[in-house]
Amino acid sequence: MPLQKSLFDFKADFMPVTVLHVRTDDGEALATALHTKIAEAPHYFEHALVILDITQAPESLTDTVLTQVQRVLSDHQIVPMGIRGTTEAHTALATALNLPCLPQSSKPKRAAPQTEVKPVPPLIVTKPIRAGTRVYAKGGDLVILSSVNPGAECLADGHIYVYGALKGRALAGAQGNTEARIFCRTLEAELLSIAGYYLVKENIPAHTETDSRLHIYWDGNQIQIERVI
Amino acid sequence: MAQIIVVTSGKGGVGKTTTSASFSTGLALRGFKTVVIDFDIGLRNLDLVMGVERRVVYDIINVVNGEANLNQALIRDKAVPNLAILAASQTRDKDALDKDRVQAILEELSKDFDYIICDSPAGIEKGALLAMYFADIAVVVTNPEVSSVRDSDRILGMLASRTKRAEDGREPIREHLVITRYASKRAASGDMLSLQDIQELLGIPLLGVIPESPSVLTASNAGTPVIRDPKSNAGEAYRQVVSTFLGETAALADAQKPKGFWKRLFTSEKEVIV
Repeated sequence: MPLQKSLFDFKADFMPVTVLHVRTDDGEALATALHTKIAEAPHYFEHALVILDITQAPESLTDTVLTQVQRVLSDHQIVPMGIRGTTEAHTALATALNLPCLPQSSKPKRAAPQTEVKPVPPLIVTKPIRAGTRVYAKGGDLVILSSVNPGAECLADGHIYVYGALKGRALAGAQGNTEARIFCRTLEAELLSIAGYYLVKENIPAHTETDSRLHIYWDGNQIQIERVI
Repeated sequence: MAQIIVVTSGKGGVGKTTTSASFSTGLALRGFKTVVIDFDIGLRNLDLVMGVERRVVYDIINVVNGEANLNQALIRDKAVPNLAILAASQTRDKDALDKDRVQAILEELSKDFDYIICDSPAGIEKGALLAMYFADIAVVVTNPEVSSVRDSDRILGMLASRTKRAEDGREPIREHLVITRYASKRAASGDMLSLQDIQELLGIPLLGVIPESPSVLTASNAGTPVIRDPKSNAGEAYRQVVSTFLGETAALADAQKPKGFWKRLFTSEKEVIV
């Protein structure tokens, strides 16, 4: 027997749905307010699927009020697809309106954003960073108590502090933080970079005096090399 | 247990083999049982510099392959009683060696010797990595020249990360610097890097400075390590390196500075220059 495609498939799908929260039992007021609101963007609501949510509605809500709502919606070609938030007293309403009772949304509540971000401690290097070696302070600052030799590379997501000679490459704000800076005492770097903006050696003025005390930052336009007073 | 010393540099032609030959001879002359191994498989040089090339029967690869035992392959130096040489193979390449086999040889040598000197090949490839892998001490040979210093810096980085001591998290390798082919006049005129520049960049303790000297070439060609030449200033510098290494004297780098006219005029010629 040849393989036959099944005639249909049941598949779960997700689609956006508008929820109309009813907060009053005053049918007239509600109808007027609805009209006004929909009139602001008539095409937006055309053929929209709507769930009536009566969780916040007073106990005294009657089917007359909801029928009024239903009429306003159908006037604007909005399709109510169900009713939600019905209590024992309200189940009768759903039956009266001939709408299915829907359960509350099962979408998991998003965890509240963590207010306390744990600071990443700086990475402290005591030995010289030698040619061919790379040191990366992920997520934080990099403090180098010795020198960065030619051919070596130091990277940090935060600031870079070099207390020895800076003769290799230094890349601060490696993940795009333009506020990151490089601090050094002597400058003979092969490359300087702040958040991806860089200067190569031929464009870097050398500062070989033993204690030049420089800071290097991105001013929004170019990399600035300045002396700390 | 023997101390394993690697003589390395990164760059070729800076004087690793010359230093290995003189340093091992110097240690042996001081009474330490010393063996020097040529790791430069395929480019046999050490036996030439040490004047034993006519006595090489078996080499390190023969030992590794079980074709000879260590005692057959070790060449005892006739002039220096405590010194032995293990030659490299000229017909094989560096792939014939691996870590386990090198370790086995070093362990066996460790029983009989005080110092094992490993003469590293140039470069940062397998051969150089193997020569340094089991080392306790490194002697980094550098010329006063930018590329040599940078290569040495690279090697120092590897000594700190790619050796057994580093991998085991043990106490790091003791690093020493030997500057060779140094001409103080040319350093003063700026043609060469000064001692200060080199030390500032590499930041490791200095064992000594070997002056540029024609006696080094003469000694190499004669097959007698320059340390055995009593008249050579390079030989004297190597003797100084050995005693600094043994902790007897401090490296006196300052004495290498050229004297100014007035200083020369007012200081005695008898002043000891080291």
